[in-house]
Amino acid sequence: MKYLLQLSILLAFWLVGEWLSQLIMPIIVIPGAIMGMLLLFIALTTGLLKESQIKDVSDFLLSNIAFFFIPASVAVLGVIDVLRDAAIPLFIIAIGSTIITMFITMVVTQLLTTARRKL
Amino acid sequence: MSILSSPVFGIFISIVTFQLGLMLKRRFKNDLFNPLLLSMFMIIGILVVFKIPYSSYKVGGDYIHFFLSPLTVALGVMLYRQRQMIKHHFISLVIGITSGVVTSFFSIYTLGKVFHLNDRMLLSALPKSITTPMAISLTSILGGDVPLTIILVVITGMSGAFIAPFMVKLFPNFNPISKGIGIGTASHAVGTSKALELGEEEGAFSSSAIAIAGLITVILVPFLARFVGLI
Repeated sequence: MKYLLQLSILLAFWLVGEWLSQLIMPIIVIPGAIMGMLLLFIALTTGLLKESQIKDVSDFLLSNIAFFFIPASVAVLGVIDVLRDAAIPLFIIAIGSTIITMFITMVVTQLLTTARRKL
Repeated sequence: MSILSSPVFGIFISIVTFQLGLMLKRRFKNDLFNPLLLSMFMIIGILVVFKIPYSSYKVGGDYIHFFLSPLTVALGVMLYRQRQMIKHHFISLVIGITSGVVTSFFSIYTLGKVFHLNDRMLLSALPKSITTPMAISLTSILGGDVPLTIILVVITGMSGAFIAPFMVKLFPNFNPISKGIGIGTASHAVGTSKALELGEEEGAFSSSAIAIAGLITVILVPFLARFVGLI
C-alpha cells in the first residue's frame, strides 16, 4: 500500500507537470516530466510534501536507473543503418566534446570560486 | 510462438540480461562493463539470432519505458537532498555549469560540422552530456533519434569516468568544487561515480551538477539550436 501511494504521488506530479508544460509551451518548451521534477522539488522545499512520503519508490527508481533505459536503447535496431556510416565520427565527437566540456567547466568554475573568495 | 506476443517476453529478457550485466560488472570491476550496454547487446543478439521482430520485444519493453517519466520526477528528490550545498554555492554552480552546457553545445556542433554529420544526428548528439531521462526528453523536443542519444549518453559517461582522473591531475591546485562540477557537467551519473572515488566533496558537487546541468541544457539548447539554424 505504501509503495502504491508513493508511486501515485510521483504520477500526480508528472500529470500536473504535463499540464503545466502544455500551458507554457508557447513561451518555452519544458518536458512534462522535468516540470514534474521541478514541482516536486518546490513541494519538498516548501514543506508541502515530506521526503518520507515518496522516499521508498524514488530510491527504488533512482538506484535501478539504468534498467529503465534498456527498451529505449534496444530501439537502436531501428536506426542501425544510419549509424553504420557515422559510427566512428559519432564516437570521436562524443569523447572529444566530453574532454573539452570537462576542461572548460573546471577552469571557469575554478576562476569563479577563487574570484569570489577574493572579493 | 505466441508467448512472443505477450509483454512477459520483453520484460523478462530485460530483467535477466540486466542482472547478467550487473554480474559481469561485479566480476570484472571494470567501467567498460556497463550493465546497460551489455543488456542492450544481449537483447539485440537474442532478437537477431532467433529472428524475433523488434515489435515483439517492444510489447513488454513499453511497460519498462513507462517508468522513465516517474523516474525523472524522482530526480527532484535528489535535487532536494543537495539543497544546502546548492544554496551555498549557487552562483558558482549556475555559471560554471552554464559554461559547460554552452561548451558542450558548440563543441558537438563544430565537430559535427567537421565530420559532415547530418542535422538529425547532430540533434541526437546535443543532449549527450546530461542524464538519460532528461536527454531523452530533450531529443524528442529537438527531433532527433532517441536510441542514438542513449548510446551517446552512455559513451559520454564512460569516457568522462575514464578522463576524470587525468583531468584532475592536470589541475592539482583546483578546489573540489571545480573538479566535481566539471566531471558532473561533462559526464552525468557515470562520471560522478568516478568523482566519488576521487573524494567525497568532488562526488557531492559532481552529483549536484547532474540535475542542474540537465535543467540548464533542456532550457538552453533548444534556443542555441534555433540560433545556429539546426531547428
